Amino acid sequence: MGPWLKALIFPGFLFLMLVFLMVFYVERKILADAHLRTGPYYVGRWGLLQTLADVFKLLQKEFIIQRRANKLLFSLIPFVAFLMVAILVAFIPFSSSSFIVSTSFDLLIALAIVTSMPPIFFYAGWASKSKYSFIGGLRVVNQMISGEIPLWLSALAAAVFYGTLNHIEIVQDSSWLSFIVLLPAFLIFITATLIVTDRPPFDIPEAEQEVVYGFLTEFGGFNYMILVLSKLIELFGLYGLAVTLFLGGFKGPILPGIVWFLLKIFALYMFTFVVRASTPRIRMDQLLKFCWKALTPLALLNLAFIIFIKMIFA
Amino acid sequence: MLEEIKEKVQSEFGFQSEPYDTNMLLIHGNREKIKDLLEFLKRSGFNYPHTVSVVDWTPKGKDFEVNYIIENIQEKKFVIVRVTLPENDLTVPSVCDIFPSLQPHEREAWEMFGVEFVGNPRLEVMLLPEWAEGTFPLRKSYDFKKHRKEKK
Amino acid sequence: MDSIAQAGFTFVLEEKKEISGEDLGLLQEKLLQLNWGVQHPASGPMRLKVWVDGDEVVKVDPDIGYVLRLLEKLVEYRTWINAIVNVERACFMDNFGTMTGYSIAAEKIAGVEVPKKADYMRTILCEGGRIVSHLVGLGSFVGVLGVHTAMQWALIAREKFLDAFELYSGQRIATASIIPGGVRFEPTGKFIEKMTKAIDFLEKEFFPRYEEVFLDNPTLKLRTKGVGVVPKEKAIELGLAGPPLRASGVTSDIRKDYPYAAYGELDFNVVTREEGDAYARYCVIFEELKESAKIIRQAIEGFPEGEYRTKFPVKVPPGEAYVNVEWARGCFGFHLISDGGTGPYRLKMGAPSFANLWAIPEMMKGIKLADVPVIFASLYMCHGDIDR
Repeated sequence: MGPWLKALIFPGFLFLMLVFLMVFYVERKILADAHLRTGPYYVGRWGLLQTLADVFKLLQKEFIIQRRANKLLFSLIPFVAFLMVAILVAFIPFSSSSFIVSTSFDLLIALAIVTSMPPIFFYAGWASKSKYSFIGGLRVVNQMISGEIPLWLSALAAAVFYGTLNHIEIVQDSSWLSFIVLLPAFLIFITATLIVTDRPPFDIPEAEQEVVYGFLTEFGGFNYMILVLSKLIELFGLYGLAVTLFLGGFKGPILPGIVWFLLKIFALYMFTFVVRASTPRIRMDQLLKFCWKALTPLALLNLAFIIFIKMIFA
Repeated sequence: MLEEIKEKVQSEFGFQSEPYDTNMLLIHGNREKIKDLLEFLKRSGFNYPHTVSVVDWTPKGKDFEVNYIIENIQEKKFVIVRVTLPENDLTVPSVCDIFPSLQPHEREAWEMFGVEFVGNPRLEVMLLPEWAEGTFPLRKSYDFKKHRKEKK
Repeated sequence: MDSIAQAGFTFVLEEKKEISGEDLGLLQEKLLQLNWGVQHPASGPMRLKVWVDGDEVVKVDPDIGYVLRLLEKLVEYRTWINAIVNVERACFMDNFGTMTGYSIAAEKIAGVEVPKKADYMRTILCEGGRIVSHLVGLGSFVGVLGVHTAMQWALIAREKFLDAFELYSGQRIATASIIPGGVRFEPTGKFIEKMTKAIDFLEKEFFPRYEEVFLDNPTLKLRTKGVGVVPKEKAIELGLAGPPLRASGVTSDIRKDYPYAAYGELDFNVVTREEGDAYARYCVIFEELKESAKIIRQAIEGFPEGEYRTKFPVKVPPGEAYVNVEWARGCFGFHLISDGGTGPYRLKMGAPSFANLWAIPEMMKGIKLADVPVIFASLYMCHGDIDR
């Protein structure tokens, strides 16, 4: 397959859309299970088409721009956000052959993209010119910046351990030993991922009961869908990164690589859903305290530990 | 407990009081001494005010009544302090500096009956819509047909 | 005391300047006024004007009246028995408590003695109503922290009780089943059976599951402990009512203090907590559920035989009564006045949520914006009850 076909069909757009529809469906089903109710049921077999129906419903909605809003920025932001997270996914190897691009700076680019997300979301909040959106935007900046430092430090720990930034090489070098050595880095990475992508219990910027929907408040219809989708893709991309760096990526016995990759991602998703069903949201100051006083020092220590290990093995 | 209060109210303020139900005391006060009376009651342990209840007796040829219902939360006793106000002079001193939590109740009573609580810092409409200010809907003279929102 | 009179209830209006969208960039110099409600996911039909300085709440002013129905006026146009329809709508969550209070007040004026069976039936219904209301209270408290699981679990347990009410009165929410002179329908064995089943479900399935996940939840404790602390003296001064008052360590429960219906003959505890914070209020609500279940079991055990209602006169002699009942959300006072007519001359409803609401400006001073919904939900208010 040529790179264009790859980008459009298999590890690219269509495949990912399908994955997200499924992720959304599974999330709703699992949450429903935790809530002791049924969840999506009527549309399609076992309600499988419910998410698709919701997407079409959102597509039909009116394109509303608030009167005070900065119109250009307001309508542009969702697409910028989408483009950026799409770049993030392009560097993730789903199997030894199915990836869109692979360079020697894969990890660096992926992390750089994640780091440049907060201004986008802040502008989304600022351009809506609404109070709740504005507060949501401020919260995003606050939270993401404090989450990104442990994210970087733990991801770099893996890079230091493998001595490369290329995803494929990292996966090929991984083993049980690397999994055990990088386990603390993995845990920090997952926590930081939840913070950076504002998933519960760190969904402070979108805290529905506090700031309505944060920077998403004024968005509706197609714009809203794209923005939410890009947040979902960001989570997917970061989980893909976690699987690649710490869980041995597409490696696994018997089954093809892509299945192993998706299985590992699914396990991570399961963890997120269960956390979402049972953990209340924490407060901003508690989060900042946690990030700067616990997570970042731990990530630094972990990096030192990895360097130490590297020195022993070298 | 209530007997003591009854005697003291009689001797200090000269107010008549009568037992009301099993554990309540009904004190007939007047508006000149209402603040002193409530302060005295607060010192005697009646520290948990329930509400201010206004009764419009005008169709019966009587006056307005303002009832302050206050509980002694330790000893589980009630007093109801009753002040009678003539229809053409509906003013009573506010007691919100003695019982701050009665302030919104007074505000509601003002809004619904037009009883002016002198000294209450916030007599604004609370429950009613703004256009209905001054219609005093809980008065007996309120007419549903007359007091309607004007159509534009 | 002066502090409250000057600053809490007396709202200073000097900063009336509102910030429009264009000025958001200059935020650091101004206070931002947030309209927390009317259309807000956690506010319900009321508005809190919240002035924030960054993330800190400077002051709060409730704006209420969005569900005003003027029930006190409507009651004056009803007959003694019809009036329950208006009285129960003070809040649909626990309609039995308000109806019981009104009925007792009417019976006191008329001098009617209700049969023992009616008293027991009222007790069962009141406690059922309390359970139904507390379940929603628990669910919405966890709900404002972003977890909807608790609400769903609570609603499942609530459904069993609603089924029992439906079997008894034909309605699930507004049952209109307690009238002056007794209860409106003969309590059948089927109702008792259904109620027992609901209690069984609550005690055997709901409590253990809920306790494990949402009572010992470390994140929940982190979030709610030490938030909105009201010491004992302050609680009395602010006029808090119901579970929030008891969570501050004040032993005040009308069921125990001035027993009505069959409460005098049953054995139960008044749940109190000393801490006075949001978590304590949450715990009080949960513990009261257990007590209510206990009361219903006892009442069903000692359920007497006999008539379930007596005749209530059409015209009631002139007189008045002030009756308090321990409603789900606190002490509900009924000042009922009769002029000798066929209906109430005046009914004043002293609503507990109204008292709790006006403690908000004082409690929400200097907190973080994220604590606004927590304190709001922990005060356990009902909007229908605030506005009446």
